[in-house]
Amino acid sequence: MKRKVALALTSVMVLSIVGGCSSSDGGSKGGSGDSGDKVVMNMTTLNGGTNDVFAEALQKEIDKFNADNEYNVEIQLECYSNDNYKTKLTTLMASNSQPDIFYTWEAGYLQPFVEGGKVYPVGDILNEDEEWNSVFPDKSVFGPLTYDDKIYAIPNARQICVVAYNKDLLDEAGAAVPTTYQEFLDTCQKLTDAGIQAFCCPCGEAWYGGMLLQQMCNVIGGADFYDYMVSDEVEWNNETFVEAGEMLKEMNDKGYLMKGSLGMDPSEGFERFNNKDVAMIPMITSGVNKLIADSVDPDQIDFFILPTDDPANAGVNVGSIGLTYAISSQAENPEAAAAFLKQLSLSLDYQQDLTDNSQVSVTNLEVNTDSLDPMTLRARERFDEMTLYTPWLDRIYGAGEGGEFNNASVAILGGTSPQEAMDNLQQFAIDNAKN
Amino acid sequence: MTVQRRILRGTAFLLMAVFAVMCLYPLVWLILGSFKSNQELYTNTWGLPESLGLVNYINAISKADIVHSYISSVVITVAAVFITVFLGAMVSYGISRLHFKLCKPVNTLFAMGMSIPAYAAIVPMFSMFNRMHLLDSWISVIIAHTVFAFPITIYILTGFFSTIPKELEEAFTVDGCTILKGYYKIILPIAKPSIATVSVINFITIWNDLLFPQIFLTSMNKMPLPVILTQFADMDSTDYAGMLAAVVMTVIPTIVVYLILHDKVMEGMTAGAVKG
Amino acid sequence: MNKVLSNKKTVAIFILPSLILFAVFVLIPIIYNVYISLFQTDLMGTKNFVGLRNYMNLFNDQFFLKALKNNAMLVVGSLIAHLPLALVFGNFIFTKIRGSKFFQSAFFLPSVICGAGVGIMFKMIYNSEFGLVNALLDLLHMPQFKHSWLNEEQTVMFAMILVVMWKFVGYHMVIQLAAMRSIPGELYESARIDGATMWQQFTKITLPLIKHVIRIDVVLIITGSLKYFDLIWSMTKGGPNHASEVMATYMYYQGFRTLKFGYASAIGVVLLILCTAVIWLVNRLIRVEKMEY
Repeated sequence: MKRKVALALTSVMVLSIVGGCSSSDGGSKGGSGDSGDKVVMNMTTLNGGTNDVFAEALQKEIDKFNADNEYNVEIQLECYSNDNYKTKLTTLMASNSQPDIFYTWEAGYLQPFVEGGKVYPVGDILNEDEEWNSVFPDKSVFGPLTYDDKIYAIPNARQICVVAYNKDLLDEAGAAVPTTYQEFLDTCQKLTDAGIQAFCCPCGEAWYGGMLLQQMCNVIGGADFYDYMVSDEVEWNNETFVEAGEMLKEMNDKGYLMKGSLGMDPSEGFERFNNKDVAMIPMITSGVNKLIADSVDPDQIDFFILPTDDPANAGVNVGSIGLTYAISSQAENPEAAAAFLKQLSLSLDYQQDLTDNSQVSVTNLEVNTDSLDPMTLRARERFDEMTLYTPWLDRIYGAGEGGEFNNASVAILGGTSPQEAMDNLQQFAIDNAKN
Repeated sequence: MTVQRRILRGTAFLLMAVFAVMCLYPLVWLILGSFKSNQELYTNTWGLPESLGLVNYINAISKADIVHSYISSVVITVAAVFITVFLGAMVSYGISRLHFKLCKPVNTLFAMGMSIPAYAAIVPMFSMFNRMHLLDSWISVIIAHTVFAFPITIYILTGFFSTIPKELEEAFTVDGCTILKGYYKIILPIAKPSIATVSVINFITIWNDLLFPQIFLTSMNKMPLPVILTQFADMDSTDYAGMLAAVVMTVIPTIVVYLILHDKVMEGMTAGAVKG
Repeated sequence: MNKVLSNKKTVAIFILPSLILFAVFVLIPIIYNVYISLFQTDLMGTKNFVGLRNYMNLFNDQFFLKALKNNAMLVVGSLIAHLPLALVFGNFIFTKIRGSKFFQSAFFLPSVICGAGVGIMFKMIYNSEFGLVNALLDLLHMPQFKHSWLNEEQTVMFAMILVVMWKFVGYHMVIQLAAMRSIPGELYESARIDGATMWQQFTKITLPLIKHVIRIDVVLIITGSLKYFDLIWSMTKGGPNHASEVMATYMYYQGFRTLKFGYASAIGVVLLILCTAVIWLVNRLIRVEKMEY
């Protein structure tokens, strides 16, 4: 018995050593391939859940690139799920072994890496390349990726926050699709009077609450207030913030928000919406394909952007870019990496894959929208109403202040007075700057 | 048994039964839930599943590469536990039985390892493994787990070794046996219960660990089970039903190992309790 | 005898391999942590020497103080639950109550499930709408006690402690049971002949003879509670609004999310000092003599 156990253990150990060593392909970063044949570059992206399709689409493009490129470069894709990715990328950055091409979020997320000298200013190549440059009709997509007047990453998609609603439930309550914020409150009231749950904000993920609060700031303050929000002089207990907090609190007090919203997991929220338990739910356009369930008829579902009473603020909505990739400053062949990113931007197949999966492309490629279902098309139409994209505050300010902004919204929904919540946030910002 | 005794035993039994239900019910729920669809999880959370469909399991196996991750988990865990216990027992023996000047400081050093959470060591360890070209190899994960398991292993085993009578070494060295040989032939067999305990403790910790594999490995086909579990979660949508199926598949081997080792532990303990 | 036991070659064979591995992969990171904690750095471009300022900021940081308090609650809760419960249940099983074998395995099972799995289970159990806890309260006609357990700042830590208790009682019980089983049976026989009651046997024979294991267990419980990360992160990520933050999750958040590695390392050092102090204290308070029988 003892001998058998010992034998088994020894063989496991040998297996582990052999297995572990031999299949370590391209483990070191920016690595060199075998005997100077091809340069191997590694690329990281998200997978898991809804990200799987995008990882697959990316792999197809990589296969194309590897088969035929003039730089003699081979790209290898590594995938991580969302939570893991943030830990992994930070570790890699901190050990100076960041991936040659990596998925990134914009603004405050990428900024420390840029300031740490880890990112290659791909804008230099982009600006010299007319073919690539012309694919982006709206140059504002590079706004959140520009630091010190240089562009550091390339986006592929756009996403905005919309409110999904169930037409049948609204009709049942005799409520109209709101075009002003006051009408929105009326709609909520009519639904509540008819015994239908009006709104659900699944704050199990704190950023849902933050997104709603930010949108209310947009509704009150528009573009001017957005400029203030992202400036260095921002004070979180500014009266507009508090007013937005009051609006959020009002929704809770009047019973418009679904019971249990405070800790509700977004998956549950969407199940409820699909089950017709609630009439409206805020969401990101890239998640529209989650609304397809057997129990609900997609024709019942439509979308609107949270409207404002002040016409000057119309179209100022929470939204930003997505599926953004950047290049490492240590990449052995940044031109090759840039060439691959250019391929992504110009690839009709890739942009079509994105479109088929509820993403809206930032390029002007003629993607085919005929295969899309009417519900997804209706979501896409909301982009036409946008006048200003205001990225999520936790992306602009990063995990510290941005995360605390989300927490403040959750605190308000949990009963804290908006004034107190925003005062606390301001105090945090001051303390945080000292660390 | 007297009546009083019977009542006491009865109450004790009742208490244990209640606690057993509390322990097992979530597990039962886990298994039942793994047969439900995502929607059913919310509408029929606590009841029996509508059907015993293996959809979630098939999904988990095909989508998440469960087979490879099983192999990874087994290799990493078994190797790490083996090395930890093998080396750890030797160090524990050395600290508690051998005489050398730095005995106490060495003991303290290992104890300090109990005070450090893994996240604090991640970045420097990553750099070290990077320089040694051990990244994306099971070896880095095994080493990481082994060194972090040393403190507890050594703490427990030194406690055990110090209870062995000193005469034992005298006895076998008189017969011309070296310390090393005596260690293997005589001391270790006596230590079976403690070694079994330590093995089980380490097996569970390492089997369920998420951090080290996630950071030190890059190829998906080398990732052990806990990492695979995270595949089911997304920013704002989680395939809970699939995740439950994967969790059940992760849990079963640990239960099996425990049940097997548990018997060995019983065997070893009763043998050791009778002093010859 | 002493010469044999202090033979340099023997000592080297037993001690050196592990010591070297440990020194390289654990001690060096610890030293690195202490070093980095004196800086304000994101390990990329910025690196400013700030001396002990990180530590001073820590003690003015409301979230860190909250984490410290939560850890203390976790330690106390764990000690209360794991030690007495584990001992009592362990003793019942040791004295061969009916169904011992079944109970032993049943109690141990919760510790075998990984943190992510336990996280999902209890998120559903604590759900305010369809969760088991609230459903039970309804059944017992006590709806006023219903809460959104994991999402209200006042209840989240208590809910968390219960889950940790659930997970680890069986684990500690098995450790203590193993120790109980190494006590020779003759001691109990002679005690029984002398007329000792079950309680007397427990307190006068069992407890003293497993004292060394209890000491180990206390250290495991306290250091484990101070370092705990997995369950808390998978259930609430330290939320809502840092209400269930503990030192380990706060350290992760400061390091890997806000990139304040210097500050995070300072937290790590505080954790290190606390754990080391605890181990020293416990070793002092629970004195154990070598038992030879």
